[in-house]
Amino acid sequence: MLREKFSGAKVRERNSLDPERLAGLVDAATLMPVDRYFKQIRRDLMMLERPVGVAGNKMRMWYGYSPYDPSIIPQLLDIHRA
Amino acid sequence: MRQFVSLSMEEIVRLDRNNARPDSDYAESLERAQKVRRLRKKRAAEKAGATLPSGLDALFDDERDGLDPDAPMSWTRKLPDSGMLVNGDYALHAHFHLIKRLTGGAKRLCFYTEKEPGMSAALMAAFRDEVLTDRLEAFQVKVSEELSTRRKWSLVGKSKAEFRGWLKARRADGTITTQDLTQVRMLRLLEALRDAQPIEDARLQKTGILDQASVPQCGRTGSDGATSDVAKAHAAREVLRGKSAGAQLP
Repeated sequence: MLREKFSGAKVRERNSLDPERLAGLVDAATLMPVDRYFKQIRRDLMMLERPVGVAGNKMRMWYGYSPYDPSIIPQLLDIHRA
Repeated sequence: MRQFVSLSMEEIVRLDRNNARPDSDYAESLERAQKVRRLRKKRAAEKAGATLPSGLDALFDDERDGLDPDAPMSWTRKLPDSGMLVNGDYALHAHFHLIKRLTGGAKRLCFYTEKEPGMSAALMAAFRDEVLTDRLEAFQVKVSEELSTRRKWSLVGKSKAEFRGWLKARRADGTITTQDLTQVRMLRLLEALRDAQPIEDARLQKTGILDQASVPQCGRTGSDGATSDVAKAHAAREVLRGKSAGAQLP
Protein backbone atom coordinates (compact mmCIF):
# COMPACT_ATOMS: atom_id res chain seq x y z
CA MET A 1 0.00 0.00 0.00
CA LEU A 2 2.60 2.46 1.09
CA ARG A 3 4.69 2.18 -1.99
CA GLU A 4 1.86 3.39 -4.20
CA LYS A 5 2.26 6.75 -2.64
CA PHE A 6 5.71 7.20 -4.07
CA SER A 7 5.02 6.09 -7.55
CA GLY A 8 4.85 8.33 -10.54
CA ALA A 9 3.75 7.28 -13.98
CA LYS A 10 5.10 8.41 -17.28
CA VAL A 11 3.06 8.23 -20.39
CA ARG A 12 4.60 7.11 -23.59
CA GLU A 13 1.66 7.43 -25.82
CA ARG A 14 0.56 8.50 -29.24
CA ASN A 15 -1.53 11.58 -28.78
CA SER A 16 -4.54 10.60 -30.85
CA LEU A 17 -6.38 9.11 -27.90
CA ASP A 18 -9.25 10.99 -26.31
CA PRO A 19 -7.65 13.02 -23.48
CA GLU A 20 -10.22 11.98 -20.92
CA ARG A 21 -9.71 8.34 -21.74
CA LEU A 22 -5.96 8.84 -21.56
CA ALA A 23 -6.34 10.53 -18.17
CA GLY A 24 -8.39 7.58 -17.00
CA LEU A 25 -5.66 5.19 -18.09
CA VAL A 26 -3.01 7.28 -16.35
CA ASP A 27 -5.13 7.28 -13.24
CA ALA A 28 -5.24 3.51 -13.32
CA ALA A 29 -1.45 3.23 -13.59
CA THR A 30 -0.26 0.94 -10.84
CA LEU A 31 1.85 -2.16 -10.36
CA MET A 32 0.06 -3.15 -7.20
CA PRO A 33 -1.78 -6.21 -8.60
CA VAL A 34 1.44 -7.59 -10.06
CA ASP A 35 3.36 -6.94 -6.86
CA ARG A 36 0.60 -8.60 -4.91
CA TYR A 37 0.74 -11.68 -7.11
CA PHE A 38 4.52 -11.88 -6.76
CA LYS A 39 4.18 -11.57 -3.01
CA GLN A 40 1.62 -14.37 -2.98
CA ILE A 41 4.01 -16.60 -4.90
CA ARG A 42 6.85 -15.84 -2.49
CA ARG A 43 4.74 -16.56 0.60
CA ASP A 44 2.60 -19.43 -0.66
CA LEU A 45 5.26 -21.49 -2.41
CA MET A 46 7.93 -22.57 0.03
CA MET A 47 10.50 -23.29 -2.64
CA LEU A 48 10.17 -19.78 -4.03
CA GLU A 49 10.51 -17.99 -0.71
CA ARG A 50 13.33 -15.49 -0.55
CA PRO A 51 16.61 -16.89 0.77
CA VAL A 52 17.22 -16.40 4.46
CA GLY A 53 20.13 -14.39 5.86
CA VAL A 54 21.90 -16.48 8.49
CA ALA A 55 22.91 -14.42 11.52
CA GLY A 56 25.45 -16.99 12.70
CA ASN A 57 27.25 -16.98 9.38
CA LYS A 58 27.95 -13.31 8.62
CA MET A 59 24.41 -12.94 7.27
CA ARG A 60 25.23 -15.10 4.32
CA MET A 61 22.23 -16.30 2.36
CA TRP A 62 20.80 -19.72 2.98
CA TYR A 63 19.07 -21.24 -0.01
CA GLY A 64 17.84 -24.34 1.77
CA TYR A 65 14.31 -24.13 0.42
CA SER A 66 15.33 -23.71 -3.20
CA PRO A 67 14.64 -26.77 -5.34
CA TYR A 68 17.53 -28.79 -6.69
CA ASP A 69 15.78 -29.21 -10.00
CA PRO A 70 14.76 -25.89 -11.61
CA SER A 71 12.10 -27.65 -13.69
CA ILE A 72 10.06 -27.92 -10.49
CA ILE A 73 9.49 -24.16 -10.52
CA PRO A 74 7.27 -23.96 -13.62
CA GLN A 75 5.30 -26.95 -12.32
CA LEU A 76 4.71 -25.24 -8.99
CA LEU A 77 3.77 -21.99 -10.68
CA ASP A 78 1.28 -23.77 -12.92
CA ILE A 79 -0.34 -25.47 -9.94
CA HIS A 80 -0.42 -22.19 -8.02
CA ARG A 81 -2.02 -20.38 -10.94
CA ALA A 82 -4.65 -23.07 -11.36
CA MET B 1 35.72 -73.74 -33.51
CA ARG B 2 36.73 -70.15 -33.79
CA GLN B 3 38.22 -68.77 -36.90
CA PHE B 4 40.64 -65.90 -36.84
CA VAL B 5 40.65 -63.71 -39.90
CA SER B 6 42.51 -60.52 -40.54
CA LEU B 7 40.27 -57.53 -41.18
CA SER B 8 41.01 -53.95 -42.06
CA MET B 9 39.67 -51.17 -39.83
CA GLU B 10 37.07 -50.10 -42.44
CA GLU B 11 35.74 -53.63 -42.58
CA ILE B 12 35.49 -53.80 -38.82
CA VAL B 13 33.53 -50.54 -38.76
CA ARG B 14 31.25 -51.74 -41.54
CA LEU B 15 30.57 -55.07 -39.85
CA ASP B 16 30.03 -53.33 -36.57
CA ARG B 17 27.45 -51.04 -38.13
CA ASN B 18 25.67 -53.89 -39.87
CA ASN B 19 25.51 -55.99 -36.73
CA ALA B 20 24.31 -53.20 -34.45
CA ARG B 21 20.77 -53.83 -33.29
CA PRO B 22 18.50 -51.33 -35.03
CA ASP B 23 16.94 -48.72 -32.71
CA SER B 24 19.57 -49.40 -30.09
CA ASP B 25 21.58 -46.66 -28.44
CA TYR B 26 24.66 -48.11 -30.01
CA ALA B 27 23.26 -47.86 -33.53
CA GLU B 28 22.19 -44.31 -32.79
CA SER B 29 25.62 -43.30 -31.57
CA LEU B 30 27.21 -44.89 -34.63
CA GLU B 31 24.84 -42.92 -36.82
CA ARG B 32 25.65 -39.73 -34.96
CA ALA B 33 29.37 -40.31 -35.25
CA GLN B 34 28.98 -40.80 -38.97
CA LYS B 35 27.05 -37.57 -39.27
CA VAL B 36 29.78 -35.71 -37.41
CA ARG B 37 32.37 -37.24 -39.71
CA ARG B 38 30.42 -36.16 -42.77
CA LEU B 39 30.00 -32.65 -41.39
CA ARG B 40 33.69 -32.35 -40.66
CA LYS B 41 34.54 -33.50 -44.16
CA LYS B 42 32.15 -30.96 -45.61
CA ARG B 43 33.53 -28.12 -43.49
CA ALA B 44 37.08 -29.06 -44.37
CA ALA B 45 36.14 -28.94 -48.06
CA GLU B 46 34.50 -25.55 -47.59
CA LYS B 47 37.50 -24.25 -45.74
CA ALA B 48 39.83 -25.43 -48.43
CA GLY B 49 37.76 -23.69 -51.09
CA ALA B 50 37.20 -20.51 -49.11
CA THR B 51 38.86 -17.36 -50.32
CA LEU B 52 39.39 -15.25 -47.24
CA PRO B 53 41.77 -12.34 -47.58
CA SER B 54 45.25 -13.36 -46.63
CA GLY B 55 46.02 -13.08 -42.96
CA LEU B 56 42.35 -12.89 -41.95
CA ASP B 57 42.04 -16.58 -41.35
CA ALA B 58 45.12 -16.55 -39.15
CA LEU B 59 43.62 -13.61 -37.28
CA PHE B 60 40.45 -15.56 -36.60
CA ASP B 61 42.53 -18.52 -35.51
CA ASP B 62 44.14 -16.27 -32.92
CA GLU B 63 40.75 -14.99 -31.85
CA ARG B 64 39.43 -18.47 -31.39
CA ASP B 65 42.28 -19.12 -29.06
CA GLY B 66 42.83 -22.73 -29.87
CA LEU B 67 39.14 -23.66 -30.08
CA ASP B 68 38.56 -26.13 -32.86
CA PRO B 69 35.27 -25.37 -34.56
CA ASP B 70 35.31 -28.76 -36.24
CA ALA B 71 35.61 -30.66 -32.99
CA PRO B 72 32.70 -33.02 -32.45
CA MET B 73 30.09 -32.08 -29.88
CA SER B 74 30.82 -33.64 -26.56
CA TRP B 75 29.22 -33.35 -23.17
CA THR B 76 31.58 -30.54 -22.31
CA ARG B 77 30.65 -28.48 -25.37
CA LYS B 78 26.99 -29.14 -26.02
CA LEU B 79 24.04 -27.11 -24.79
CA PRO B 80 21.99 -28.60 -21.97
CA ASP B 81 19.13 -30.90 -22.95
CA SER B 82 16.56 -29.06 -20.91
CA GLY B 83 16.63 -25.70 -19.24
CA MET B 84 19.43 -23.20 -19.10
CA LEU B 85 20.24 -19.79 -17.75
CA VAL B 86 19.43 -17.07 -20.24
CA ASN B 87 20.38 -13.43 -20.18
CA GLY B 88 17.53 -11.41 -18.67
CA ASP B 89 17.10 -9.24 -21.76
CA TYR B 90 16.42 -12.25 -23.93
CA ALA B 91 13.88 -13.48 -21.42
CA LEU B 92 12.24 -10.05 -21.51
CA HIS B 93 12.00 -10.04 -25.29
CA ALA B 94 10.68 -13.59 -25.33
CA HIS B 95 8.13 -12.65 -22.70
CA PHE B 96 6.69 -9.79 -24.74
CA HIS B 97 6.62 -11.93 -27.86
CA LEU B 98 4.72 -14.56 -25.91
CA ILE B 99 2.25 -11.93 -24.73
CA LYS B 100 1.85 -10.84 -28.32
CA ARG B 101 1.04 -14.38 -29.35
CA LEU B 102 -1.40 -14.87 -26.48
CA THR B 103 -3.20 -11.59 -27.16
CA GLY B 104 -3.27 -12.02 -30.91
CA GLY B 105 -6.91 -11.15 -31.37
CA ALA B 106 -7.00 -8.14 -29.08
CA LYS B 107 -8.23 -4.94 -30.70
CA ARG B 108 -6.53 -2.72 -28.21
CA LEU B 109 -3.85 -3.25 -25.60
CA CYS B 110 -2.78 -1.33 -22.54
CA PHE B 111 0.46 -2.05 -20.68
CA TYR B 112 1.58 -0.86 -17.30
CA THR B 113 5.20 -1.80 -16.97
CA GLU B 114 7.91 -1.15 -14.48
CA LYS B 115 10.42 1.47 -15.46
CA GLU B 116 13.27 -0.84 -16.16
CA PRO B 117 15.92 -0.47 -18.83
CA GLY B 118 15.25 -2.92 -21.60
CA MET B 119 11.59 -3.39 -20.89
CA SER B 120 10.50 -0.49 -23.00
CA ALA B 121 12.76 -1.67 -25.82
CA ALA B 122 11.37 -5.18 -25.61
CA LEU B 123 7.81 -3.90 -25.67
CA MET B 124 8.43 -1.65 -28.64
CA ALA B 125 10.21 -4.42 -30.49
CA ALA B 126 7.39 -6.89 -30.00
CA PHE B 127 4.48 -4.50 -30.50
CA ARG B 128 5.88 -2.07 -33.04
CA ASP B 129 2.97 -2.49 -35.45
CA GLU B 130 0.40 -2.05 -32.71
CA VAL B 131 1.99 1.20 -31.58
CA LEU B 132 2.25 2.55 -35.10
CA THR B 133 -1.36 1.69 -35.85
CA ASP B 134 -2.40 3.29 -32.57
CA ARG B 135 -3.74 0.17 -30.93
CA LEU B 136 -1.56 0.15 -27.86
CA GLU B 137 -0.99 2.29 -24.82
CA ALA B 138 2.08 1.74 -22.72
CA PHE B 139 2.73 3.30 -19.34
CA GLN B 140 5.86 3.11 -17.28
CA VAL B 141 5.27 3.15 -13.57
CA LYS B 142 8.17 4.09 -11.36
CA VAL B 143 8.09 3.11 -7.72
CA SER B 144 10.64 4.47 -5.27
CA GLU B 145 10.95 1.53 -2.96
CA GLU B 146 14.20 2.36 -1.29
CA LEU B 147 13.23 5.68 0.31
CA SER B 148 13.13 5.98 4.06
CA THR B 149 9.78 6.43 5.79
CA ARG B 150 10.56 10.03 6.73
CA ARG B 151 11.48 10.85 3.18
CA LYS B 152 8.27 9.28 2.00
CA TRP B 153 6.24 11.36 4.43
CA SER B 154 8.10 14.45 3.31
CA LEU B 155 7.21 13.68 -0.31
CA VAL B 156 3.59 13.18 0.62
CA GLY B 157 3.57 16.55 2.36
CA LYS B 158 5.16 18.22 -0.63
CA SER B 159 2.68 16.59 -2.95
CA LYS B 160 -0.27 17.68 -0.85
CA ALA B 161 1.01 21.25 -0.65
CA GLU B 162 1.55 21.31 -4.38
CA PHE B 163 -1.94 20.01 -4.99
CA ARG B 164 -3.52 22.52 -2.64
CA GLY B 165 -1.58 25.37 -4.25
CA TRP B 166 -2.65 24.25 -7.67
CA LEU B 167 -6.30 23.99 -6.70
CA LYS B 168 -6.24 27.35 -4.96
CA ALA B 169 -4.81 29.02 -8.04
CA ARG B 170 -7.39 27.37 -10.30
CA ARG B 171 -10.22 28.37 -8.00
CA ALA B 172 -8.89 31.92 -7.82
CA ASP B 173 -8.86 32.37 -11.59
CA GLY B 174 -12.22 30.67 -11.88
CA THR B 175 -11.02 27.70 -13.94
CA ILE B 176 -12.37 25.27 -11.40
CA THR B 177 -15.64 25.87 -9.68
CA THR B 178 -16.74 22.34 -8.89
CA GLN B 179 -16.49 20.89 -5.41
CA ASP B 180 -16.54 17.35 -6.74
CA LEU B 181 -13.08 15.99 -6.12
CA THR B 182 -13.40 13.28 -8.73
CA GLN B 183 -13.79 15.99 -11.33
CA VAL B 184 -10.97 18.00 -9.79
CA ARG B 185 -8.69 15.00 -10.01
CA MET B 186 -9.62 14.44 -13.63
CA LEU B 187 -9.00 18.09 -14.47
CA ARG B 188 -5.58 17.91 -12.88
CA LEU B 189 -4.67 14.82 -14.87
CA LEU B 190 -5.91 16.41 -18.07
CA GLU B 191 -3.79 19.46 -17.39
CA ALA B 192 -0.73 17.32 -16.78
CA LEU B 193 -1.35 15.50 -20.04
CA ARG B 194 -1.86 18.72 -21.94
CA ASP B 195 1.53 19.97 -20.81
CA ALA B 196 3.26 16.75 -21.80
CA GLN B 197 6.01 17.15 -24.36
CA PRO B 198 6.21 14.98 -27.45
CA ILE B 199 9.21 12.73 -27.71
CA GLU B 200 10.89 10.87 -30.49
CA ASP B 201 11.45 7.19 -30.14
CA ALA B 202 14.04 5.80 -32.46
CA ARG B 203 12.46 2.37 -32.24
CA LEU B 204 9.32 3.68 -33.83
CA GLN B 205 10.87 6.36 -36.03
CA LYS B 206 7.77 8.39 -35.61
CA THR B 207 7.07 11.58 -33.70
CA GLY B 208 3.99 12.69 -31.87
CA ILE B 209 4.33 10.56 -28.79
CA LEU B 210 3.63 12.09 -25.45
CA ASP B 211 5.96 11.61 -22.59
CA GLN B 212 6.52 12.94 -19.12
CA ALA B 213 2.92 13.39 -18.16
CA SER B 214 3.77 13.51 -14.54
CA VAL B 215 1.11 12.10 -12.32
CA PRO B 216 0.99 13.77 -8.94
CA GLN B 217 2.50 11.63 -6.29
CA CYS B 218 -0.46 10.39 -4.45
CA GLY B 219 -0.92 9.34 -0.91
CA ARG B 220 -1.95 6.13 0.74
CA THR B 221 -1.33 5.70 4.38
CA GLY B 222 -2.70 2.30 5.22
CA SER B 223 -3.70 3.83 8.54
CA ASP B 224 -7.10 4.59 9.96
CA GLY B 225 -6.67 8.31 10.22
CA ALA B 226 -6.28 8.65 13.98
CA THR B 227 -4.03 11.71 13.91
CA SER B 228 -4.48 14.87 11.95
CA ASP B 229 -1.44 14.19 9.76
CA VAL B 230 -2.70 10.79 8.89
CA ALA B 231 -6.15 12.19 8.30
CA LYS B 232 -4.74 14.75 5.90
CA ALA B 233 -2.74 12.14 4.06
CA HIS B 234 -5.80 9.97 3.92
CA ALA B 235 -7.84 12.82 2.49
CA ALA B 236 -5.10 13.54 -0.04
CA ARG B 237 -5.21 9.93 -1.08
CA GLU B 238 -8.96 10.14 -1.41
CA VAL B 239 -8.61 13.24 -3.50
CA LEU B 240 -6.09 11.83 -5.86
CA ARG B 241 -7.51 8.36 -6.14
CA GLY B 242 -11.00 9.75 -6.50
CA LYS B 243 -12.44 7.36 -4.00
CA SER B 244 -14.58 9.92 -2.23
CA ALA B 245 -16.29 12.29 -4.58
CA GLY B 246 -17.25 15.52 -2.91
CA ALA B 247 -14.94 15.17 0.09
CA GLN B 248 -13.48 18.35 1.51
CA LEU B 249 -9.82 19.09 1.04
CA PRO B 250 -7.66 19.07 4.15
